[in-house]
Amino acid sequence: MKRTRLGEFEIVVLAALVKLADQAYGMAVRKEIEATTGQPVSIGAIYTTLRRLEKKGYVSARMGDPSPERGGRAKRFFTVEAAGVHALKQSVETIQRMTRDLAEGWA
Amino acid sequence: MNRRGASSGPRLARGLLRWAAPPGGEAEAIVGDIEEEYRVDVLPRLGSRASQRWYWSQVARSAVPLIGSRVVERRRLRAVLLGWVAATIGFFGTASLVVGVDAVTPLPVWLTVGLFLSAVAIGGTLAGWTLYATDRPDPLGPLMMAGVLLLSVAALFRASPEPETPLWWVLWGGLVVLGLALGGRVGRMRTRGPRADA
Repeated sequence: MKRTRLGEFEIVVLAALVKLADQAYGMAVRKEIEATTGQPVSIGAIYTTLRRLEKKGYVSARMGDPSPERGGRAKRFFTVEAAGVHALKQSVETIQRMTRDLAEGWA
Repeated sequence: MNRRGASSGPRLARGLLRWAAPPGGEAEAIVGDIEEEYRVDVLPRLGSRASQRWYWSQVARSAVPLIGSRVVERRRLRAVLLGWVAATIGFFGTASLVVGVDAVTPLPVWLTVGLFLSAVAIGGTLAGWTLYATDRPDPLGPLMMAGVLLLSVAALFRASPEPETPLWWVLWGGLVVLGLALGGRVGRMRTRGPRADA
């Protein structure tokens, strides 16, 4: 059976990809996560997670055009696939259910 | 600006990052991402010295997960473990043979240490070789590792009290051949193409 459970950081990265849509590349994802969570994140951690998500079939990648501000290097854009959206929805729903129950317990 | 006059990050840091990242377009994309932030945002804001520190900190923080993910990746790990297991089995097999041949005389301490170090050298060579072979199939890695192995063996002979004894040359030569053969076999396993992991 294919595993669809996502780790916390995988959820954060997938959510950033969904938000950034067609402008989702490494540095943009990193800035989006740092702006949202307030936590510093390394580009290495982003790419390691993206690679894992790509292997799971949740994300696909394509190379963009080289640009001078990157020293002539191309961007690598990422897109969330249908399986990735499904896995993200499942994970978010699980978290929402868990936190709702938790809030009721605290009240 | 760095010493070369271009608004690029430190060359050594860039090289380190490129080495740590997976080969191909991903490595260039990672370097490009850091380079872009460095040139567009960090350098104008922080100035040369502080921005170079920023660059190094980014490389240091990124290298750990990048290297970790490459090593842990299943196929490479399997290749490395196979190399170590093969070298260990080869070592103990050869050592048993030596003990059998030399049963009538006590085994010298230097030989025990020498065999152990040889096994470590061969295991390390195989591990490094297979890691290179599964990740970056270029001739430099195996050549470097083979060089390290041969130097280790040569150093052992130099240190041993009986360097002229042919038996030890045959023994260590056999270990080298065994290591190279096993390393080559593991390397060939890779060339059968990517395996569809379940």
